[in-house]
Amino acid sequence: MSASTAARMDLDEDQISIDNEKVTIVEGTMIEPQCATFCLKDEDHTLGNALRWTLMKNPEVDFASYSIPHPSEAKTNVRIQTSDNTTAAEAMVKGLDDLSDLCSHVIQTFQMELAKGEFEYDEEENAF
Amino acid sequence: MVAEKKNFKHNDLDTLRSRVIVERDRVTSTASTDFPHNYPGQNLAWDFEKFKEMFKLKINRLSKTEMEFDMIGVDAAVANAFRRILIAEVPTMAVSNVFIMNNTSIVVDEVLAHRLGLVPILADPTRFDFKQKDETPTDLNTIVFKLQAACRHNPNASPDETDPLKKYIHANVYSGDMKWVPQGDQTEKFQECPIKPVFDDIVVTKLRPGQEVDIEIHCEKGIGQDHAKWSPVATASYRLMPEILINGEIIGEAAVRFQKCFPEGVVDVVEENGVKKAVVVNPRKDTVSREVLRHAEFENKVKLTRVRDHFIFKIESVGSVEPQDLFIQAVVALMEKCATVKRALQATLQSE
Repeated sequence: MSASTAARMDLDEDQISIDNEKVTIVEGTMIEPQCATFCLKDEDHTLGNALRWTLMKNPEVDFASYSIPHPSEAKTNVRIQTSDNTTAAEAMVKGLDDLSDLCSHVIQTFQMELAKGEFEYDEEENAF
Repeated sequence: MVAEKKNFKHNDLDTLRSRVIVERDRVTSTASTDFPHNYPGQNLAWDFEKFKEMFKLKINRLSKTEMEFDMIGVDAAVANAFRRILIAEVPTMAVSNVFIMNNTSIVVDEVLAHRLGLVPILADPTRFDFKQKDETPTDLNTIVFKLQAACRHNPNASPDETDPLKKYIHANVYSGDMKWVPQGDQTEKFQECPIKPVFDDIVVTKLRPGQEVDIEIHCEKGIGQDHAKWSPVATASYRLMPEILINGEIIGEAAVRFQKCFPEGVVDVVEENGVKKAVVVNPRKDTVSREVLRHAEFENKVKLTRVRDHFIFKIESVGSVEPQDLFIQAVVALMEKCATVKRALQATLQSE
């Protein structure tokens, strides 16, 4: 199994059906477009914390945080407040895009390093 | 690869931003603060081009089951996401249904089933589908093994033999006794890498003459979040690059004492014009035991920090998937998460 087959970068968009419950806007949190709390179903600290970081990297975002209201419910709330130059939804999309860009560059760099082969390689199963 | 060297200053802003500070009795400056508007005169907004420039990844060691690499220029939130996905969300194949026709061994059925569940299976999970709850097993989502063993006396053993392995035939049932039963076109599909347990020498149960096991095993695709048996790694972890800063010089016999505060290879004692001098040569090897901070003579002479964005990442695969493939799959999984959330968000916004 080669690294390239494992990385199926072309995400087949048609095959994935959209779950309407996946992202909801928590009732009463979007008083104006500049603020909102998004509820992500079946997400946890993995996406929550990474997304919070890219959101906070956006200078138009005044406030961004995430919380998991109850540990036995697979839900993550992401709160965003932005300046007047953008909206919470736009900031969310930008945050996701930025994180996605970051990941694609990490894979590229990793595969390049792997191809270069400038490292200790050990055939033994438990080399170190 | 050594990160840009810092000067010895007490908590200046730059150190607070880029280093975790290790003190004698506490660790400070742990949270990331490199966000826009936090530092005057610095633009810390997300910039993909700048990220590409700053991001570095270097593989140190690679083997069939383990790898270590340095990842520089990402936040702990991202490194942690990769780590969490490696442990809990990269799929593998594992035993999920055990049909016990006969089991007269000392290990009871449910314990035996649990033990079988934890045996890692050497099969490429990308070539299988997840089996949904209401689906029936097919050659696309299930691997079948048969485990049949019966124990009897070894006629060739000497009468006073005490070792059960010599006295009896099949005294131990090993994972290697699991025989793959290909379904559908699995024989052709997996011709180049026949499906088997990763290790053949895992003791599943023990038998005595007259005892036997007769079991059919079904493996399914799953993720570590549902059960640890599906986790593709023994562990995936990272640590931050240690950094040792010396204020001025540590010379003479103090240099030797200083060296002894660290593991071998971290500090070198060099002679300059006949004077011994301590030089930090390989902080990577430091365990950050903080021994040096216990000595009054080095007070205000040394400062221990860790580089906040320099991760020494280690992946220890269980053996079913090679570690370099695991990492790529983990990063792809995070991208897929972003894509699904984005698509669902746009759908939600349209419907409102």
